[in-house]
Amino acid sequence: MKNYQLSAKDLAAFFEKVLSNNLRLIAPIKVKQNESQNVTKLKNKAHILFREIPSKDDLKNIVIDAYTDMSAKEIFFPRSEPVIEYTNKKSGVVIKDIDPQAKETVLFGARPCDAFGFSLLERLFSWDYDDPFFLKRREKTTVISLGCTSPLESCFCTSVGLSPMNTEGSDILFTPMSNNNNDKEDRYLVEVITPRGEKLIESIIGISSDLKNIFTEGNSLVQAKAAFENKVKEQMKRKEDFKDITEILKYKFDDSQLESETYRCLGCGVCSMVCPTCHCFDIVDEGEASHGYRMKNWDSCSFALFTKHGGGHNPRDMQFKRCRQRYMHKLHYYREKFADALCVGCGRCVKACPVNLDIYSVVYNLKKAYANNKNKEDKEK
Amino acid sequence: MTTTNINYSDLQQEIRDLSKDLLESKKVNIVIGYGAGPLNEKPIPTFITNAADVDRLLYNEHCYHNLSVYLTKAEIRPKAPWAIVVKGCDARSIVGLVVENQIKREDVFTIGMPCNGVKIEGNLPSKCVNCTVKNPANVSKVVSSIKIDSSAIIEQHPLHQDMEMLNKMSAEERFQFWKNEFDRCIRCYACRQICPHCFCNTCIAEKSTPQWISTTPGSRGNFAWNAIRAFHLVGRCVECMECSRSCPMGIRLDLLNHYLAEEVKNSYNFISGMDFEQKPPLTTYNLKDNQDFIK
Repeated sequence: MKNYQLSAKDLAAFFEKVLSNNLRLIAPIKVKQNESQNVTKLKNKAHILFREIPSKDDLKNIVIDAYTDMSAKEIFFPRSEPVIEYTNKKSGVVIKDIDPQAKETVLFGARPCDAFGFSLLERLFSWDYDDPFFLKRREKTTVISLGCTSPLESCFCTSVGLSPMNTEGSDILFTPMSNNNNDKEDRYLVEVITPRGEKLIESIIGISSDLKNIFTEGNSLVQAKAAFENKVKEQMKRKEDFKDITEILKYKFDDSQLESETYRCLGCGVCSMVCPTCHCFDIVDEGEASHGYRMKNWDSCSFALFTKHGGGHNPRDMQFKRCRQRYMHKLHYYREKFADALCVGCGRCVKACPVNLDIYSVVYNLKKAYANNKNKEDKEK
Repeated sequence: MTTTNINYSDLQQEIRDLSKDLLESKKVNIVIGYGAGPLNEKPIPTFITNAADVDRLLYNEHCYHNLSVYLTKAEIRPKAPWAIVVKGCDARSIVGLVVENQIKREDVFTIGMPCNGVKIEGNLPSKCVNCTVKNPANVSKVVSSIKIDSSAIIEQHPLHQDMEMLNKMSAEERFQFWKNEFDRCIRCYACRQICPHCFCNTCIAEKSTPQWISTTPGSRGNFAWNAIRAFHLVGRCVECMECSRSCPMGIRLDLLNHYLAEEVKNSYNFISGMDFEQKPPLTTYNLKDNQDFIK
């Protein structure tokens, strides 16, 4: 596939073309809360979320140099959506399917970890039953990811085998690059990765001579990217490899270490809600007896209600058992079934957890204890 | 001596010594305090049951969690008697839990920390600006003999202007303001789980026969959930602002809670969590209660 380069100042022209092609554009913006008027100018938290950019005038709101608080999974798998509509008539109950409302979309600014998350979700949603809601939206969306140049303290994508600039899951990857290593990044290497990405680039550049001029030959940057990628990887503070944790967790189900590591969990669902790969949902009916909708809403295995049975029994009766389920699912069960871990190392749960529960450090500590134990056993032999 | 400077390593050592004594003498079974977390400036709630482990406890200006939430959790409750590290604001939560018969006063040994404001991601939270409990009250023991100068009360509460803004709005505008806020709610229930005063075994949001609040994240259920939680906390919330800190969507729970606390102060001359003898006004009655609102 082709590589281009695009000057950072021409990004807006590209977006304008996307909009004028009647494509829905989704990108990270700073979502306004009702701003605090307070006298002491205490800072309110800024929230960067993926939202639709309805018109040219809104392009200036796109935030490129920050990380979003929520993942982009809600574009394909919204926090709440109707799956059927029912009407109770005298002649009987009429059930109507819901159209997933999949529009041709360009999703800009997902990070490489988010993009890999889409491929993890796709494996699940096309496994024993093809979920039309997820798959149709994914089919109609071109994912343009943005490579990371300054990972956060909480990032650990290399631990799960990814990189700040990996391409899997993206249709097109924009990587900010500079002229040489010391300058500020002022251009993008545009790597076209899939036929879907190629189709978008072709359809947009193909009809516009202005864009042909700004999307120039990019092969010359590919080598520089590899060096830059290694440099950024070097900057990452969290590098423990997660590969062998799957094997270790097999023996940790009844281990008290998992309990003590997760003892402080309060049982809210923030981690699942911000996660790019958590996909459990709850089915509820909303409406009246005469008419309503069956809804599919995000759920979380951290909630006490998640496994509570109709009869009142709860097999996961303590919070640490719910936490254990989250880790086991991500790092053991999912990997056994679908080859990869259900964690992309984005670190959103690490940042959002009110009591700073940290999946990376849990894995780190489990591995350390396992290695210590093994050393001891070997010595005794 | 009155001071604004705190030597945290001294305080930390005193917590460790005291915890060791309490555990060794079997006065308590568990110490709930702060320990080093995996990330800088983010200590974690830490539980010590063995006197040999007290050196895992730490204390610094980043110890912002209100640990009293743990006392009513299923894992910790059976471990009473507990010792718990509290700042002045957190101690108010303990008073609230005792007054509402959730814990027994004799079961909890409160280790009170003098505090000149915490730092949350480098910022001073609004609750610390006009703090009146920098030197904790109603605790079993105040660590160290230092007294924090708490005379620096600025005239206006940091949320005063926001309150004025709400007061100037028409009812419709105010409704719209809160609707905008609650629309963002993703129903993760972090506000409820971190709240020391949300101790119900089954929350009204979890009841399904009949269902009181729609669990679908959409404006109808979101408004009901946030409004009902606010009502349940009137006169009980101690404004520790942990819900506001935990909310991943930045909903202005700080403003909501402060507004209601001011209402209670003006109507009943009551500030929650200050007195072991006083019940929250909306959970009790008094023959002298103002009745002129009944028309």
